Amino acid sequence: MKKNRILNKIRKYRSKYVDIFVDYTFDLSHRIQFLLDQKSMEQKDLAKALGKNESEISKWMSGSHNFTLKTIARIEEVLGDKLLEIVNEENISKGEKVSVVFINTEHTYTPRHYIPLRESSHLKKYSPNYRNTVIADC
Amino acid sequence: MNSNREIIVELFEEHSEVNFYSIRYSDNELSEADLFFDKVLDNEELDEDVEILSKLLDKIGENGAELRHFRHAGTKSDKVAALPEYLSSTNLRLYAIRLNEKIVILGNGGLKKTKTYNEDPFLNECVETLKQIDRFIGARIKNGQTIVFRKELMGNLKFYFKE
Repeated sequence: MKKNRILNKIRKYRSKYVDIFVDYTFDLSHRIQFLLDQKSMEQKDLAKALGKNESEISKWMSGSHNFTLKTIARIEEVLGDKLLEIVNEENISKGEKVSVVFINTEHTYTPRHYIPLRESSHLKKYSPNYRNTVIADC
Repeated sequence: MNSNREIIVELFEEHSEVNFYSIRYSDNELSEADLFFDKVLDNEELDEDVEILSKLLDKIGENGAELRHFRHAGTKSDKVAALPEYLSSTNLRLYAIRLNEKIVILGNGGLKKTKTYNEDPFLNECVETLKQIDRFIGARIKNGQTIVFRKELMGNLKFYFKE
């Protein structure tokens, strides 16, 4: 696929934290939109429920917004579903493969469809079937 | 004597879900998007925002050009927008035509230091040029001179602007 020379130069020297940051922010906005669609809600409904202006919700949904944990918590409360989850290190034992879920997407996690990843023996690191899911050896 | 300046819309980058095109004046070797990135790379203050913008283009390319990723810039009836929709640190703007979820035509842009882009002559010209191209492309799609097929823009992609 054709790639631009100047953008390739930027990609080569781009800070790793920027890649991680935009992966988070973009996927978070995607997850929020998925949940809104699932609940037949619009951004203005989310704004009303949170007491925010629609323009602020637009910023959140842009794909590059730096969410605070408090904002994520408030959105989770309104939407009644997880946006992200933190690794629980108490469950990690030596030699055990565990999952590190960065952002829950509709394909990897919902309360109805969640499959504990240690049961999914075919899961590979950065498997395209489990976007944003990594198995780490400990 | 009035002369016409030729602008060509050509492929800038291809991704799995989106093709990015850019506009190029035929008397320039570089497209407007090339000129934008060349210019902003020289400004150290914009380093992080340029990196974020480049990564955002990658994510849009992989996932689709959803409306919410763009900040509307033109009039209600056109498809001219700015990327990114939001940056916390600066008002860096890359203007584009979001033709649909699979095709984006990148123009030029820069740092918006005024309240609205109209107040900045260069940014205003960026937006006005894209508005015209948006109108021309719309008309050519209707009459079949330009064809949209999945993420490809085909057919007559040369436009003439009066100077």
